[in-house]
This record gives sequence, structure tokens and C-alpha cells, in this order.
Amino acid sequence: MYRRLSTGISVALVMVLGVAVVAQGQDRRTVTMSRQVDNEQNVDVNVRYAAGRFSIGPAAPGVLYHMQIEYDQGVFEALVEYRGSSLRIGTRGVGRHVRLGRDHEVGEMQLALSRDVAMDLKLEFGAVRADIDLGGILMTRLEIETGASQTLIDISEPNRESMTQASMEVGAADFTVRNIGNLNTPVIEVDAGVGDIELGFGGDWKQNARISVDMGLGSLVLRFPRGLGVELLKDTFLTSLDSEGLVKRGDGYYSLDYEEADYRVTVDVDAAFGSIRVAWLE
Amino acid sequence: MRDYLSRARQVAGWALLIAVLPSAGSGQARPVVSNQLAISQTEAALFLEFADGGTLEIALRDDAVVIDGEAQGGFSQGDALDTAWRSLLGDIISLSDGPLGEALRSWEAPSALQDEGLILAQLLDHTLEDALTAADASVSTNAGPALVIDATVPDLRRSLEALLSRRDLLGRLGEVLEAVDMATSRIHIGEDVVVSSNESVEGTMVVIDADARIEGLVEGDVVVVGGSLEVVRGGQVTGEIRLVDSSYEGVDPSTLGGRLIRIESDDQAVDPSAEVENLENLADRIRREIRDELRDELRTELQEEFQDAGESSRGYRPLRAIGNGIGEVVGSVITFLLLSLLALGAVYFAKDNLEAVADAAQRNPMRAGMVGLAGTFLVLPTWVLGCVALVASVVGLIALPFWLVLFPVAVALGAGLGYLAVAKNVGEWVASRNINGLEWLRPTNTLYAITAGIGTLLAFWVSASVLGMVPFFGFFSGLFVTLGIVATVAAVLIGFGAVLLTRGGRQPDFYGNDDPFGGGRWAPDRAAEEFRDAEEFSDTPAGPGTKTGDENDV
Repeated sequence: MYRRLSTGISVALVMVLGVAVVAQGQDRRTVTMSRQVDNEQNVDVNVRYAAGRFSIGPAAPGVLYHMQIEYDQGVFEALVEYRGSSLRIGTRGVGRHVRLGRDHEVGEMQLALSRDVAMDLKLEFGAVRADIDLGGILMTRLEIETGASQTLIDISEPNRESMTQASMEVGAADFTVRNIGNLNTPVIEVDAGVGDIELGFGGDWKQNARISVDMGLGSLVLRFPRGLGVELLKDTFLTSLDSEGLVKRGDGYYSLDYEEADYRVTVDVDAAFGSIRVAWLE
Repeated sequence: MRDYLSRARQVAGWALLIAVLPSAGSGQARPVVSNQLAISQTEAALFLEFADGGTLEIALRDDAVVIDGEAQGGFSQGDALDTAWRSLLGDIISLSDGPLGEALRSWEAPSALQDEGLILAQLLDHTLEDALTAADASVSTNAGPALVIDATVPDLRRSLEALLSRRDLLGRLGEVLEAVDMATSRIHIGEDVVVSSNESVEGTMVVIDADARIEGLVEGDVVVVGGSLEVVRGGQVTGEIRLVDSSYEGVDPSTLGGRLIRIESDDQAVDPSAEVENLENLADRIRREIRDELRDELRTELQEEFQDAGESSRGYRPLRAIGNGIGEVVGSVITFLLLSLLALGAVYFAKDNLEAVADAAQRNPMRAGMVGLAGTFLVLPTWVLGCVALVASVVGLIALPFWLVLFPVAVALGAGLGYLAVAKNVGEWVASRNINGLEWLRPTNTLYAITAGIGTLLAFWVSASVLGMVPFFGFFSGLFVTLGIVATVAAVLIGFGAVLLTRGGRQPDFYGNDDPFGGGRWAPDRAAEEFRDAEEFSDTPAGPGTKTGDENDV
């Protein structure tokens, strides 16, 4: 618990220091790239993006990926590598310049991924404002790591592939996930340091799931749809709970129709210093 | 000047070839599987990857027109060529596959261009058309097809396409063919040539990426690029022999009819004297590095010697560590006893205040912590401003001594009360864990809870002291010290904030008032709370017919 807290604080420090790394007289570079679907069955996609705005959406038919990225080439360099069904894409720091000034223009990365090829998706963000729509993208695995970011993830359409596991590691962030049910996975792990976390359990549920939330410092909002069987377990320290619509039974809190629900989710929260609030989607 | 001439020669070579090259635009499209565009102030680059594995890169970068890594000419930023190329990239930025290939193939050199710009634009145009047209010739591979080009044959298209595919050689060709009569010429690409003893060849013979062996007669010049030339005894060349990155063997060239001219590429030219100089520099550098390393090593050893001597004069280190550790543990125990004594006083004299503060800290530690942090920052300014105000009011001078002393005392008492309140919460949490050996802890007893909490908060310090006595556990000791600092600071800040929020524990229901942090959100629903409490005492799970607090409200 304290390790997570210290991790979160470290990430927050990095964020604060990162704010100082702003560009002046930037040397902007725009890179656009795309690749057609060939005979790929499954692609490992590793996206790394250090700072700026980031978005993901589905690509046009026949396109494996399409990316447009704009960055300061004095600070970052584009990273694109497609080799043996493994795609590494994004930016990385060149470590040469730390520019100070006020005229900061953040970079931007837009990525579109195929709807036709299954993907093991790993997303790593630094100080990023991310708007991610994973709806319609075939995912067999999802791994998200964020630093100091403001992240909105929406799985707007059901994942047609069954995913073994989804994991989200959040540093110091404002982190929102919507339509988790569309992920189509039995296991979801959320490891959060410092920040406000909002998990929306809407979507098309096709199986039961267990969601583990490990939170250091911050607030957690859980939004459940009516009709979904909810079991909330918590192991908390100095954390308040507003469990509206749940009844306590033994060590857990349950939705009223838990026994009759077609699909059930167990949310296991381990938190310190913060609050947990339950809300219901109408 | 030399660069300019070199570039001019290159462009002249291109102009010659482009002039005789028919358009390949009517061929079948070559599928593009991947494309990449990079645009910046100094660069406008296009990279294509084809389905057959070939690649093409065209870039206008740093004032040079580069095709597959080789500079073909120059441009100026913002000139007509730069503008036209950027315009093309802008048009295709959202295209892929078929539409992309079609857009690139249909691009034409703008008619407004002149001189070198026009030639380079035409070169880009032809390069794109060639690359995007399915043909036997692969654009990016150096393994070109073996072809013999006869300049007297009208249909040169396929042959010249193959020649164009060797762009790495064309720059040098333009240079070497300057004074050569190409009207009657034979060009051999990737195919070894033998002029047998009974054979006679008229006109210029150009051999590219291949070897030539002359046993008979060549009535003209011989040009060999990237290969070798052998003139055997009896063989004859009446014109000049030009060797570009090529070797020569056979009879003494001075016995032949013309001159022998050698041309080497810059990247292949090696200056022996420079190489010797580099070796000497390397030896010097190695000597310096070894000397510096030896000096550093000696210096480190001497420092360690001196350190050890100093340590031994102060006593045996492990014993001192154990002594320090025991001292620290005793210090922690004394602190525990003093805090417990304070807790006893607080429970005896201000139990209600203590519990109100503890309740506030437990309900919303985040807010209490933030308020505590803000309050800590404001303590000193408030104290100073109070002093100034009392002095300025003249009448308040009487109260100044009290303010000087009592305000810090009040702050210390508030922080202490807050710390004890948080310790109470921590103690209750520990008691609820049902830890073996701690069954005697009763959370209902306030004093027990506080002392347990104090013990828990001090446990980090004690652990650090104990680990400090164990050799090689310094890191873990430091880790526990850090945790101890974090726990103590957090407890004091949260507790102090709760003290401020509850006005020293005299206003326990601060959530009920106009709370800017979301009083409504945080205030517990009394009906629901009562229902949940009732549920906790019921063994029967809530079934479909069970009424919840919310439903009762309806």
C-alpha cells in the first residue's frame, strides 16, 4: 500500500518536473504512416507516447494501422517498427534538449487500429491527455500504463474476441473507463497510485468478471448498470464508502438482484486514504 | 565549386537519361503495403513499402533531394520544387493503398519549374511512376537484371528502366560519360562481357556492375563501373579506358591506344596517412585512459585506507551500530510513553473533542489532510500578522506577550490532539484486524485504541532502528525511516486539518453545513445508514423481496 503511495508520489513529482520541460522555438515534425492488412492473424501492438494529446479509434477497412503524430523533434523522435506481426509505435525522448519557456505546444498522436485483426494491445503513456475508443477493435489482451495523465477510455462496441485479461496501471491520473462490459474478459486489474478513478461497468456483458482495484490515494467511483449482479469487497484504510444501492452481507456489499442477475461482477477494492462511491447507470 | 560541378554533372546525366526514358505510367499498379510521410520545416519525405518487399524513399531534406539515401540534387526551402512536393504529400496524407498509388503515379512535374528544379521534378515523377508500376525491375534492390542495351535499337524503355533502377551508379555515370561518344554504344548491366580474340567491337562499351575481359579489339572507349577490366595480351582498346570504382589487370595500359582514367567514389577513397594518424590517436587515447584509470584506482584505495584508519580510531563499527540502534529504540519507547501520557490527559480532559476530531479525520482524510496542509502553511503568517496587528493597535500591546506564547502553544496542542485522533483511528483499525497476540486490544476503549495507534505509527521508527543494527540492512532501515516520516507527517496533517475543521472538536457535524467540497455527496444518508447497520446484524442475505433503505424512502 505504501509502496503504491510512494510510486504515485514519484509519478506526481515526475509530472511536476515534466511541466517544466516545455518547448520554445520548437522544431515541429509531423509523421503520417499507415499499413495495409496482409495475412496477419494476431498483432502485438505496443504504443508508447510520452507527452501530449493522444487518441485511438478504429481504422478504415483493410488498414492495419494509420497513425498521425506531431511532435517536437528536438525533444522526441517518432518510433515505428513493424516486424513479424509486432508493431511498436509512438515517440521516445531523444534526451538531448530540455527547453524552458512559456510557449508550450503539446504534441499530438492519432492512431487508428484495424477492426479485422486480433491485437494484443499495450498502451504506455507519460504526461498525456488521452481519448481512447477501443470499440470494435479485436483485442485478445489489453494492458494500459499511464503516468500523469487524463485518460478517457471508452469501449463503445463489444470486443468480438475473448480477452484473457485486461490490466490498467495508473500513476497520478484522472482515469475514466466506460463500458467495461464490452471488453469481454473475466479478469480486470486496476492498480492506481494517486488520482480520481471512475470505472463504468456498462456494455454488453457476456461473462462473469472479477475486477481488482488497488488504489493508493484518491477517489474511486464505480458506475454499475441496473441488472448486473454486483459484489463489492473492500479492504481499506481511512477510506470512506458510499455504497448506494448495495446491501451489506458478511464482508461484502451486494446489489439487490445479485442472485438473479445473468452476469455477475466482483469488485475487490484495496484502498488507502480516499473515498469509494457507488453510482448507478440509468 | 567542386560540389556544384559534381551536382551539375549528376543533373546532366539525369537529363540525358530522362530525355530518352518513355513514361511507365501505363503499366499495372504495384501494390503499396505501407507508407510513411514525414514533414517538418527542413524535411518533406515519403517512404513506401511494396508488397514484393521493395522500398522507395524520396526526401527533400536539408536542401538536398534524396532518393533511397543518395543525394540527387539540391533545392531551396520554399522554392517551386519544395512547394510542389509538399503539396503532393499534403494531398496524399490521408490516402493509402490504391488511391495513394494512383495519386503518386498521376503526379507530374509542375510546368512552372525551370532548369535544375524541372529536371529534379521530372526525376521524382519518373521515379514514382517506375516504382509504382509493376515491373520486373525492382526499384530498391541492387541486384538489377542482366541486360544489354544497344543504343541503336529504338525500343530502349525496358533497358533504360533497368539502368534507372541503379540510381547509386547513375551519379557517377553522368560524370564519367561526359566526354564519351554515346551515339554508338553498348551498355552491359550486371553481365560479364568477353570480347573474344576474333571479335571486334565498334563504339563505346559501358559495363556496369560486371567484369569485362578484352581478348579482341574494341574500337572506341571502354567504361567500367563497379567491376573489373582485364585486357589480355593481344587485346586492344583504341579509345580511353575509364574505370569507376573498378580494378584493372592485364597488359600495361600505356601500351594501349588511349589513356586510362580512374575515378573513385569519395566513400571509397582512403587516405593512408589519415589512417596512420587515426591509429596514433587511438594509441594515445588508450594510453591516457589506462593512466587515468590507474590513478583513480590508486586514489580510491588510498581514500579507503584513510577511512579505515579513521574508523578504527573511533571503535568497532558493528558495536557502534548496535549501540546506536538500542539508543534509538529506547528513544522510541520514551516517545511512546510520553505520547501515551498525553493521550491519557486528552482522554481525561477532552474526550469528546478527541472523538469528534477522530471522526472528522476518518470520514474524509483527504479533505482533512488538505486543510491541515493549508493550515500548516498559514500558521507562521497568521502568527506574524497577529503580532503586527497587536502592535499597530497600540491597545493590543498588552495582549502581545500572550499572543506570542499562546498561539504557538495552541497550534502545538491542536497538532498533538490531531495526531492522537488519527492514532485512535489507526488503533481501531489495528484492533479490527484480529491480529494474533493483540486480542487484548479493545477498539471500544479510547485509550487502548490511541496507544495502539501510537505504537503502530512508531513501529516504523523502531523497525528502522532494529534493522540499522543488522549489517547490510541499511537500505531497509532507510526505507522504514522514510515510511515513518510519511506516516507521522500524514497523521499530523490529517489530524491538524480535522482539528481545524471541527474547531478543535467543538463542532463535530461540519459535514452538515454548506460544505463546498460536496457536503451533500459526503453526508451519509441516515436512513440508508440505519438500514445498513441493521443488515450487519442480520444473518439473512437480502433476497429479491428485500427492501432497501432507498426503496423505503420511496
